[in-house]
Amino acid sequence: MSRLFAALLGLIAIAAAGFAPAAAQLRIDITAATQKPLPIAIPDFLGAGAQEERIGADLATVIANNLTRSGLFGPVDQSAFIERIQDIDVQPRFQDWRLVGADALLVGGVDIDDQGRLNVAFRLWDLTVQQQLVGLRIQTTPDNWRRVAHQVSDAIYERLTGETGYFDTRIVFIAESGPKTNRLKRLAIMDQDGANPSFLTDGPHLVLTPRFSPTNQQITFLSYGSGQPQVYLFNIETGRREVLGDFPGITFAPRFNPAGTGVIFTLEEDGNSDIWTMDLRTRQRQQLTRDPAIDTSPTYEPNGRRITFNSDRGGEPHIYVMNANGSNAQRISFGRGRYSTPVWSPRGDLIAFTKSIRQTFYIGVMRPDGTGERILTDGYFVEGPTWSPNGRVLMFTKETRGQQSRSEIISIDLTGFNERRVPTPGDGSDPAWSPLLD
Amino acid sequence: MKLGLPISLLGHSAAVAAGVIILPQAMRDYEPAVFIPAELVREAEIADFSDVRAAAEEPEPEPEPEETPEPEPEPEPEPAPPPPPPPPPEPEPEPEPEPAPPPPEPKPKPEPEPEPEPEPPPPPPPPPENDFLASLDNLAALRDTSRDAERREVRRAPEIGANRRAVGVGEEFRLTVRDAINSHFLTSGCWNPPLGAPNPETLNVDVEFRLKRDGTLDGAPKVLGGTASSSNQFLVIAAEEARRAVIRCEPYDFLPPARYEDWREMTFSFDPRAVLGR
Repeated sequence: MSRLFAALLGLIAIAAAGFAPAAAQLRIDITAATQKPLPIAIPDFLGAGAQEERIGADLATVIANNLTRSGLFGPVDQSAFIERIQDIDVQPRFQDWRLVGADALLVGGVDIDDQGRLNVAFRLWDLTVQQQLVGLRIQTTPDNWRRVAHQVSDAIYERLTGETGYFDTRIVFIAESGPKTNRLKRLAIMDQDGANPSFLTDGPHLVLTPRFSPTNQQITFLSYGSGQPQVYLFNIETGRREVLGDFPGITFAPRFNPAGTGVIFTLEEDGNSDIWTMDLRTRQRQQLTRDPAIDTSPTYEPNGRRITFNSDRGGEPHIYVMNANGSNAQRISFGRGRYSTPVWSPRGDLIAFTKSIRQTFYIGVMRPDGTGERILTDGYFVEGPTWSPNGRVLMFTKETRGQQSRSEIISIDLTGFNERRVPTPGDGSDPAWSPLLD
Repeated sequence: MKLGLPISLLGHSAAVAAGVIILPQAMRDYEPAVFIPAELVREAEIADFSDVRAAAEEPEPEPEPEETPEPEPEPEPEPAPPPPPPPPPEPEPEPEPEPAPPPPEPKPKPEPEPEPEPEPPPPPPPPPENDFLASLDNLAALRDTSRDAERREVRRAPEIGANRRAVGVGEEFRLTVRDAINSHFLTSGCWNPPLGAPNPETLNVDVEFRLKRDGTLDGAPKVLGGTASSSNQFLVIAAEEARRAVIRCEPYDFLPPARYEDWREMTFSFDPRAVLGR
């Protein structure tokens, strides 16, 4: 027995000594992240004829511009390219593209067929793993090429970030011109990159706070056209305009509900402002707040269940959240300063707002329960944030100080980086971001 | 007396020069017949691969349904935006968020086995001033691999800590490598996770891979845990970015060649929480 035992011990000893395990796999925690735009190469899209070539170059320019402005991508200078793409159905020489510093490559082709339709095909390549990520075709009319560029930009953005895109959208805003003492303010609309600006009203009357319908090509805004400030509905496609309703007082700060079936707004009567809704089909109205304080600036949560608004019922203007039927209003902002213009992110996770403390204004975000307040930017006068449809970017109005003061529309990323001016014809203010154009 | 110094200098330089030239020569006698530098092999493989694919395969873009532009006077007839339906992801439960990595313990001061300083990889790395054998190591890292086995035979005898090898890689070594690698990632900017993604606690990704002796990848890095096909699209993106980061940061040629067996297979664990401190 003892011999067996000894043998067993011996075996175990040998096993323990000789069994040097293949080096236990080394596990390393990587914590060194850097915030760097993804380098992407975007050669001009190929085209057989002169018109196609021109469109191909324009597409590449607009796409590169979109991606650059998002702050998340860094297009590689075209003059550095080594390989010339001849055919988008042939695999690119990955090493050539990696050599110029690119991690991704977009190739595309433009074709105008016999019926005069514009066909664009493109592929997005991941150069490090050498795989195609996206391959799509889009068809439309040639003069619609900008929307193609925006849709391609959205496809790339979505594939590489996981977020839905926001490039195929428009901004409605107030275009301002003329001297400060005699300002002309017109309703205007443009692509989110500032292209294609056009005026929707001709200006003799003051217009304010335009807002998009989430579901169709409709805008609501405030106009002094009929003497008294009133809320109007405006159809972008037909140009038809109508007053929202016949109210005894002044109506302002209108917005659509998430379903697009109604409008929420503020009604001021005898100095008291309360929040009301109106169903656009039945024209039925409902009063949501009833108190002597000023309640205004209402916006809906994306799922339509709650509303955030601005009220000074606590003494100073602060942000409140209540149910969609007006019940259970709770204050959520408690910091120092005056809080206003709350807007709920389309992602539902944040509320953006304007804040002012003494002479300085701020744009910030907080969670719907009021926690996590974070300031994104500050200025002499910044106000009125509006969210991109993916809840990742904000635009707001910024006014500079002094005699020659200008008002501009600024965009900024949710992380507080990448603050950029949005080009407008003349001065611009009060931007509202459309949903993705279907 | 004056002559002594220059003569001494000359003599010493001659000795060093002789050593640098002759010793490698001597060792080269042990070389096997065939020597293929790693770089050349990779390029040839890639060229062949893509030739075959370009000829045989025609990756087709998803054809999407044509939409005739509407004839009415709408300002913009819609382009048909066709997201190709992605293959339905397997209903995989989301991977459990990894427990937070243990807080790094303070490095113990005296290290029985001195590791070479992690330096940014210049090719070829300059030999440290007064360590002859280390300089040979560095030169050798660029050349063929079979000789290393021999040298390891030679060095194994005096190596202290042979017992440690029997029970696996020590924590000290792991921490040193971790710091070297993170420093490399930082200076090279290889890992760019999307910082605005929601629920960063769900975005932990592990990538497993093998390295050759010169620090280049041996095969493709592999994302673990099925995250590459998760239904959480942010996790898919995080997994892709982690894999790209591993590739971007090669070669890992600053790791100690003498301990190649210890770092030859590694798993990198990418956790955005660790970065953001949340």
